[in-house]
Amino acid sequence: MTDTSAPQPEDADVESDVNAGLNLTPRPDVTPSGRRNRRRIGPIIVLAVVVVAGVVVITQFLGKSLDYYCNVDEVSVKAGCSADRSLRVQGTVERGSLTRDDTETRFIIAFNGKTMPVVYDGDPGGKFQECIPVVVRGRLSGGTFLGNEVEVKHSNEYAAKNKSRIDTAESSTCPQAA
Amino acid sequence: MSTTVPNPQSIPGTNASAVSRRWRGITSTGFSRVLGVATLVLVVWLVLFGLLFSPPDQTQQSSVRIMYIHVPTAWVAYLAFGVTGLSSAMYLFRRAHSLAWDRVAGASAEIGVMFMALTLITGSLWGRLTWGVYWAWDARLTTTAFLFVTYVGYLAVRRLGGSHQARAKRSAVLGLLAVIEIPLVHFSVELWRSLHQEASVANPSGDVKMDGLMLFSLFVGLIAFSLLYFWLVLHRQRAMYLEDQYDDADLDVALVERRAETKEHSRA
Amino acid sequence: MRDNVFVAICYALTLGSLLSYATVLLRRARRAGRVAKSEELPWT
Repeated sequence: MTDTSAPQPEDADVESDVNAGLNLTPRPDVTPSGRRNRRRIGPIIVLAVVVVAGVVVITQFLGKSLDYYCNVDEVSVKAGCSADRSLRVQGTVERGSLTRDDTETRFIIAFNGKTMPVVYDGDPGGKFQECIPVVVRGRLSGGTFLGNEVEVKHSNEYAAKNKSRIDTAESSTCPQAA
Repeated sequence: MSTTVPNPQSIPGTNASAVSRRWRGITSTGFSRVLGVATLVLVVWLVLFGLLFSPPDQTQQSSVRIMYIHVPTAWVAYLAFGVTGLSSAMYLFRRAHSLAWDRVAGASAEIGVMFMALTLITGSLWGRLTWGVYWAWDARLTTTAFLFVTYVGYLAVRRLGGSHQARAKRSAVLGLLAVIEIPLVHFSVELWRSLHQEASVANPSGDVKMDGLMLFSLFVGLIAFSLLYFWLVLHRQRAMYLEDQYDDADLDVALVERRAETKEHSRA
Repeated sequence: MRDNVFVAICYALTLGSLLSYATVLLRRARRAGRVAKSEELPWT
């Protein structure tokens, strides 16, 4: 990995007659392929895109506030969770509270002893079901939360399908997740 | 991307040894071949355990199978960017300023970017199935996207041109700075409230809440992709050595041309 | 049903792109290597 661009001292001795008067001025357009000397435009474009993308990512993140959601018990208590603005609220869908009709899905979410009824016009996607933690985006109106976006928050626990089916099916409350 | 690939006309005639090398793979050695076979076997295992032997999850059903490739690709991306940082440090702080370290850094980052892209894609497909959305601007997803973008930038900076040493120096500084983001990404789910679940295995409390066969499948994935990473880095940095040599050979050709030119001038 | 389709896409996409990256890598190495003095490779 010697730097071939600088002539080696021993080369200079041996090839001094060969190199005498050698014109080494850079000529960008006449090198065999021109690769080495051409300013590369591709990477510069990529870099510009990268910088723009980086800024977009950061502003999106900061614009949506650092904490992605407020828990049910924090609504109108914690700073940034005041009830008069658009919120994301996290809670577990209570057992037996889920009703669906053609246009609406109604359920109650609970967290840390506090509950909140939710109306969502549409059918939430994902693994939406009872006893699962969800994040609902919307606005509080007369004690009911009008959701326009429901995301299912999965826990970091994984269990095989049939294992804990029996003991959860018989209890009337959701199995307590940590 | 392909600026260093020689055009076919300039390739000198192949002799017998070159032909045999071609079939063996010029960047292959006995070790890399053993590693390659082991990787292939483990990838087959991953597919068998991930798709057939492991049970469906009680809430996620079969979408849990995405985890066995999603988590290992994320882990390999962390590993790759970590190796890039380490190699950048070795290049910068060692007296020799060896281009070998620079090539390891570049090879690792390139492979890391690919794995990170796969992490984002598999993750968003999983997100659609489980959360109901492909993307959410929450802490883990955002920091991961930012990490990905950073290393795409790193790869672009490597290709800005100039001498090999200039390339090595500027990318080493960037490689060393960018590696700081990795702990931020990993602990983002603890630092902020995130839609993404906390780590199931590498979490601070240390208890793993996962079914045995699922955990085993995940480990098969981790080992398979780690071996694959090492195989790829080994070959990629050797290929980079060849490409660097090709660039240098190009300069030699230019010098020969200039000498011929000078001779002609003196004769005239 | 959609779960299985997405899972299949994930596995196919991941393994497929890794395999094609490895293939392209070996091919590029071979092309660059024909110009290099292959008798003096550091790893042989």
